Amino acid sequence: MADLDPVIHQPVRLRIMASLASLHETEAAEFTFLRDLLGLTDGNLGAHARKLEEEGYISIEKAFVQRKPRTYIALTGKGRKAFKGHVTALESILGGKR
Amino acid sequence: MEADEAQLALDQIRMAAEQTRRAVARSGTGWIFIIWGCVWFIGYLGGQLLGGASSGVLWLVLDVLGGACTAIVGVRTRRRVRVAYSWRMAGLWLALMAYVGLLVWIAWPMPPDRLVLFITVAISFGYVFVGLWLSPVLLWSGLVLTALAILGWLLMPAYLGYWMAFLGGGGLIGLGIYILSAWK
Repeated sequence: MADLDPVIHQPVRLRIMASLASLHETEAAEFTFLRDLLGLTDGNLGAHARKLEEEGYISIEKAFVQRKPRTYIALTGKGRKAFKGHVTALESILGGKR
Repeated sequence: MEADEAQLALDQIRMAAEQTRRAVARSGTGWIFIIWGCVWFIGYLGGQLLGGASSGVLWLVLDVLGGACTAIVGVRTRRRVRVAYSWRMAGLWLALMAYVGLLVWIAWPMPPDRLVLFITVAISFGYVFVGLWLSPVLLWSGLVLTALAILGWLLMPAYLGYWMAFLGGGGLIGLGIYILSAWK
């Protein structure tokens, strides 16, 4: 049985991971898009994103689009696997109570 | 952890995922279907009415316009979500169009109805191919367009252009409008 991941379990990080996991493997979300979508501040998203990056769950890449700097965040293979494991663990808790 | 906490976490996951997919889809997918639905509608209708070389010129102009509009929508969407390999996607469509042109040249002369069917099935194959890679909506659109083209060719080959304009082009426009309204 998969265990709950303490890094992902934090509510803000859980939503960040869920949002990124809903994208295709070839897609990356722009920082401000993710910030507005989840109703976070720059500092809040930045801090949680750094924590997830340290764990190797997400990758953060800076790029220029139409000469403007943009930051893109994507789930890594390790992150996708960890998130699936976390969801399985949550479902098994529910299953055990049924 | 208690069951109600687990349920709450799963609900948060589902909501965040739905919110994200809808926001992404709203920004690009619907408009791209509408753009290419218009290209199909005008192209097939024009092809049926004009026929011959004028039809080829019309399709060429429409494809360039469609490509330009798709690029504009793509740039707007990229402000939110970046798709890796987007240059490969553009290359795939260019290669497909080049090979379709080459195959038409090899198989020439071809009756007009077979030419329309051939090009439609080839482009639908592109939808299916990209759809398998990226999007179930695109995959199903490709399969439905292929089925529509073959059915139209079997039932009314002389009016295949009208058939594909209204059902194929109209269908794509309808799907785009549905995506824009339903995925709010």
